[in-house]
Amino acid sequence: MRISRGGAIVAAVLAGALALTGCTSGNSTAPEASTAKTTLVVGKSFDLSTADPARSFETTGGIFGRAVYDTLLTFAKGDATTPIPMVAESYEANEGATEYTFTLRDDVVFSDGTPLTSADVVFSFDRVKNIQGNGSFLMEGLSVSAPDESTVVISSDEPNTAIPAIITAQTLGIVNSELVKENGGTDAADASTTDTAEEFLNTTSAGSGPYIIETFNTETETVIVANPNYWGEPAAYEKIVLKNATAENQLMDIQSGTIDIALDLGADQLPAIESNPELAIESGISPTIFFLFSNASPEISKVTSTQAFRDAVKYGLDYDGLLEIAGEGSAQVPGVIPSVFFGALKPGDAAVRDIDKAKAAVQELGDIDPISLEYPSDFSVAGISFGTVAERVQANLKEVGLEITLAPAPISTALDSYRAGTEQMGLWLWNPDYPDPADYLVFAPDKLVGLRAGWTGGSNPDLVALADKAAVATEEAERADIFREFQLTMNEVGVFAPLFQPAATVVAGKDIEGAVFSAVFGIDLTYIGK
Amino acid sequence: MLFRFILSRLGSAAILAVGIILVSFVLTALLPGDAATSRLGERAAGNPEIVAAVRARYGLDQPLYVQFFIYLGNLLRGDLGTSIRTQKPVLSDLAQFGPASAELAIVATIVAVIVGVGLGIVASLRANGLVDQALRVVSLGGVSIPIFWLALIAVYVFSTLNRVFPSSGRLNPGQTPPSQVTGMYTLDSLLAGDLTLFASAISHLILPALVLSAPMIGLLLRFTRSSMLEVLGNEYVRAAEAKGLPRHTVILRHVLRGALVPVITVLGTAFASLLAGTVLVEQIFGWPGIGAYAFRSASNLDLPAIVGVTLFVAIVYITVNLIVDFLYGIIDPRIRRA
Amino acid sequence: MTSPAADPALAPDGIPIRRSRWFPARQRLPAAWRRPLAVVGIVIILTWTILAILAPWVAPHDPLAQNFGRYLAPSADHPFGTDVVGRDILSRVIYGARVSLPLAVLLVTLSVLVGATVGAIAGYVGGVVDAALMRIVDLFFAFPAIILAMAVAASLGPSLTNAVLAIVVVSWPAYARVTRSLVLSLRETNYLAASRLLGDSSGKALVKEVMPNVAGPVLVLASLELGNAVLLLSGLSFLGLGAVPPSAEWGSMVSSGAAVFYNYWVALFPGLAIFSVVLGFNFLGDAMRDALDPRSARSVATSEL
Repeated sequence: MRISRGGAIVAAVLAGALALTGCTSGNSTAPEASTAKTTLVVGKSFDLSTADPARSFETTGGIFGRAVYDTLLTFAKGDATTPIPMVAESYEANEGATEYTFTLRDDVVFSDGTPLTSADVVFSFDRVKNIQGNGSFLMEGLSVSAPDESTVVISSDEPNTAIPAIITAQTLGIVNSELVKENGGTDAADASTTDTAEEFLNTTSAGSGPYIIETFNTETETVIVANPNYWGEPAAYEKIVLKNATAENQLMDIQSGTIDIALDLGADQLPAIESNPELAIESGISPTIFFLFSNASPEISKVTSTQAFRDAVKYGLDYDGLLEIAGEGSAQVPGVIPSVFFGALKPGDAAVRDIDKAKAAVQELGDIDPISLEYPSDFSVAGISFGTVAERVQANLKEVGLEITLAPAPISTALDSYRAGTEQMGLWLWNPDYPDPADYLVFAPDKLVGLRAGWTGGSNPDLVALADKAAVATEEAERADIFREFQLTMNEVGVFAPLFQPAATVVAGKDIEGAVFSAVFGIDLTYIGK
Repeated sequence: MLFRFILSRLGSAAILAVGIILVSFVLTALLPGDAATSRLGERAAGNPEIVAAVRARYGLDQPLYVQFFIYLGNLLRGDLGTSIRTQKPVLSDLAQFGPASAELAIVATIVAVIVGVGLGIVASLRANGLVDQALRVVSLGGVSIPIFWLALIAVYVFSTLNRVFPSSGRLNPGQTPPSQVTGMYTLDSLLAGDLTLFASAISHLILPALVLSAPMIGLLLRFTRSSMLEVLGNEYVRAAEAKGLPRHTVILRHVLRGALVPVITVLGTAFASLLAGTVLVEQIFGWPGIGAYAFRSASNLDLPAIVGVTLFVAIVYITVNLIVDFLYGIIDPRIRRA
Repeated sequence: MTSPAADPALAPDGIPIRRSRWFPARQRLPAAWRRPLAVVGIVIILTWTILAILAPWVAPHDPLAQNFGRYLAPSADHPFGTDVVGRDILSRVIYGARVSLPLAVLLVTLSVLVGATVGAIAGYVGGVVDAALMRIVDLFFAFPAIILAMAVAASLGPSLTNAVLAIVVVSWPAYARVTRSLVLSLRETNYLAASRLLGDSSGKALVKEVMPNVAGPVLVLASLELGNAVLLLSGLSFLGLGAVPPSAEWGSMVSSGAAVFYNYWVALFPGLAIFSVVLGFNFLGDAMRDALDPRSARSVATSEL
């Protein structure tokens, strides 16, 4: 390689110059604490906006919030299906799944030593509900009460089996109600305008988790340190640094030992480190789904709203080729529910490319103008950029005679047309809000994402009925059947074409124990080092 | 006389500032989409109540001209508004990211002055010789190289193949920044007497600063050369040489002094226009500065932040020009009247 | 080596020329040709122009065909390797010339048209019109170009057309300033006084007398700006604010190689292409600047910043 040799010389010269000026750059690239391992450095491409759990809904906020704020229930290491006790030592549901009763542990204390009681839980949950933040929908249709100091009751208007999964969400982390109230917090109905505790919570933690906030910065790095008053087994590290870095910088930093864990490496970047004996690569499957939609509203497009067009897309896509783009470890998602959650379809149910059928559908469409495919251009997940996927989709459909033009936009602009339902075709993703299939009913006609694809209920009354039934079903086998039928019908209609779930990779130094991908949190920092 | 000159310049600078705010306002208002709602999660965006509340919180429900006058009013009180993306006052964002970029730009400028002016002098003394031709290629190469590409190569060579420099950031992870005096970590760490921190700060700074200096080196080299040649051709220089003064004395005493004045003006303009370079360089080096802030704000349509950054950069530009004008005014009083 | 101070023979820009007694004919060559770098520049630009025109015949593969393995290292089949979706990078680099060269020319032409018109009017009419126009010019000068370009691209959606427009908006003031100062200096000369005596109307004089005299320096500035135009456009595309996939644009190709930097070929070759084209333009522009008379050369040199 030409540049490496020349570069080495220049590097040597520069290094010499540096040494002359008295700064030894050699040792500054390695973190000082790497020998003692009391500090853990985690590289993450930040999407951080707040440290207030009630307002936080982003991945990065969840990762560090998980270590600072405890929830009623949580998940075991690497699992995303069965909630296990945390602050609540047990819970039971009533017959109709409309009321859940949680019994709290009596030994949980906040970082300032105050005991955690049911009043804190009620305050935290009501605050989330009334603050009108990104996570407020979690409390939609739910109400919370505390019959006594160690009991919390959550009741729902409709039967809702998703409640145990919902309350694992980091947004529903339990805060010290006294402390937060003292600093401007409120759970009143007008909390959206009267709650002023965010600033306080961005500098101080008011939780009962194993770590507390030292510095919170949304652009550079956020540091948490061990909570000396933690009620459980003490934290494994004295300090955890979350460093904001792009995937490419994470790749360099994990190799140089500047960071201990890299969370955003894509499958394409792994070959560079596979042979590195000091690094361990933990791969899982991400619960994020990439999907395409063809707008079902004739007002937006007379073409994309036809069955022929949907068929052309469904049969024209080369799903295996897309997996190649998504990288090793990714998987085709057979329905809208990702494989890691209850209710997912089986791989055999997935759509298969059928060039003849696709071409026949294109023939049926006749002579049409190119359709524009919109996607966010400045956004990538697990190393996969939307642009690359869109380019492959375009090439796939061209092979069957369907002309697509690409219309990227920065995500802030692209979201606008997506949410307004004006895109002819869109390429987007869905991250789970909570690990339950009920979260995926948004894809139904008349529902949140369905409407973005211009899909109203009138055209598919059966699907609307199925979705309504799925939402209130409580019996496990019945739920499984309904969600299966729901997804198969969705696939049949083909307004949405589910594409794939990317691989999720956690790369960590060999000396780091327990750095495992979590489908719920991304990574659960509290399990690391244990 | 001088006072009036400065006053009139300040006056037009203020008008310029209002114009810049107006342009950025109109521009951003023409855009589809808004930052406030695009920050909402998928579920919250589906709730019209939440959307309306968020728009109201950032004053986006007001007509544009009202927003404009509210902004001007706040500005007079020193309030640049709150960034929608970082949710912090734009002023405190600027205070956080400005010094980071300034540090980068200043070091890049120092490097460029030493290398560019030095080589420019060499080139002028060997005008049209082989060395001059070679330096001409260096100079044109400097202004021709795509800085983002140079940055990628630099990171690859010096942070991956050879781990000479860290790849990103301003300090090692977990290192606490020095207490803010100037906001430039190299200076602040020295002021705090912390040499470890200083070593870390400077090792993070060198690579991006060198990359950023490349086009400036090219520019200064060319300009110094032609400025030197112009002076070298002057009567008084030849007279001095004829008087039998040693050549280096002539060059140091007479030529350099005359030749470097125009170079200062170029330097001023070049420094102010480093921003385009910092946007790209900061992006690649993960340098938390104004350039990266500007990029993220613009792509998120974060109006208060965009206007704030624009204003900040324009003020730097105007100030630098004022200083240059002022220097010129002192050196050559005729300009004041023009 | 002759000391320049000892040799009073100076080129128009104050740069001494060593006259050759043996080749007096060289003096009659266009100034640009006396400089070897200018020739190199012309060769580079001509080569790229030819490659752009003949791309369909020269490029070994369809630049959009995703027929090959992903991230193949350079080999005999793919001298520049393949990219993220398995396209031949050499073919894309060649086709990239079809994007960057014409757009750079278009961009600079538009800027010159707008800038020179405004500058000429300001300089020729003078008075309030001049003052008002120049304040607008100041405004756009102080406006950070890259932010404007980013905001336009972010709002109207990234596309090369929008990127070109955004750059035009921030680059025309340079031409306006140069043109104005040239026109101002012309106003004082005999040309215009003479034509006024002859009873020419303002408009006619502007076209007949001013234009030809202003054209030279402005064209030099324009040639210097061609390189910058390529850099700015590719920079915006690198940030994802210019070219739209799957178009073979060099800046976006470099960008796609950033995350997989150890597959160095993805970013290396398109970057080299940008570098070489800009270098070619700058070699050429530099020589043209040298060939220009000193006064305007100075104004061109400063306004170029």
